[in-house]
Amino acid sequence: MRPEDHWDKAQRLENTRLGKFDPDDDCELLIWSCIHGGAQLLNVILHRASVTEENFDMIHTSVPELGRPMPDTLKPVFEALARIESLGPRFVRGAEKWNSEIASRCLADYATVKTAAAASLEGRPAAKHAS
Amino acid sequence: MKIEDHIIKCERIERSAGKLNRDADYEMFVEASMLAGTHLLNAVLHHSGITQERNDLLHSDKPLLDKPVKPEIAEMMRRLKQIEDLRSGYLRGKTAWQATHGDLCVDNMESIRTTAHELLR
Repeated sequence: MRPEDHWDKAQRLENTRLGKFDPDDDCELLIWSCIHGGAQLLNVILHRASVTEENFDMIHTSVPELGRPMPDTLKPVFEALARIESLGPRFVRGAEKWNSEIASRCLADYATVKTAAAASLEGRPAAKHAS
Repeated sequence: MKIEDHIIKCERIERSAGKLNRDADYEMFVEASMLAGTHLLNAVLHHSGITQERNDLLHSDKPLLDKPVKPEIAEMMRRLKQIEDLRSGYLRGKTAWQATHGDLCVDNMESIRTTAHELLR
């Protein structure tokens, strides 16, 4: 899918999250929205950096396998999204007790990925904004 | 996960999904249906002894079951798979939303919920 389409899909997921979900009452769908919105943003970055072609979309940070070494400059983005993904088994699929700090960290990690994706769409190196 | 925890999770996710407009928020509407349905399927599979509480399915066919299931459970899995099959186009692709697929999610979740409640009695 084209980077612009990935961006638009991430924005749709974010709009739903911001408009409908409470970070605590709706924590499962908040996490899920960030996991899949984040994956869309990762594809923006990978396509724009020519790491992947538009016919090769990542579903998660490790699915499918990238098939080549991940550029070091993109590690902060992968790590941020991987931290978001790690919440799925614990709080969406699992029954671990939730607290608001987890939501704050999840949204901060999402912001890291989104900032990098926005930069790459604008033609700036993603890594500079992925701290 | 314990049966009661699957049921609580399903109820929480369905309550959150109740805040969604199924046409405007179709991506999350489909996802919420998939997640809630999977929790109910796991509850039924644990209750019937097909799977143990430490072995949850992530999707209707992941991982594949190594035991046969009764027709009612097979029908739950078939209906959940129909919901899951919407994801590639609507969550990960840019397929234009069809409201009939919202109906499918509602109808299939109603069926899954009804069967789960019967089998968990």
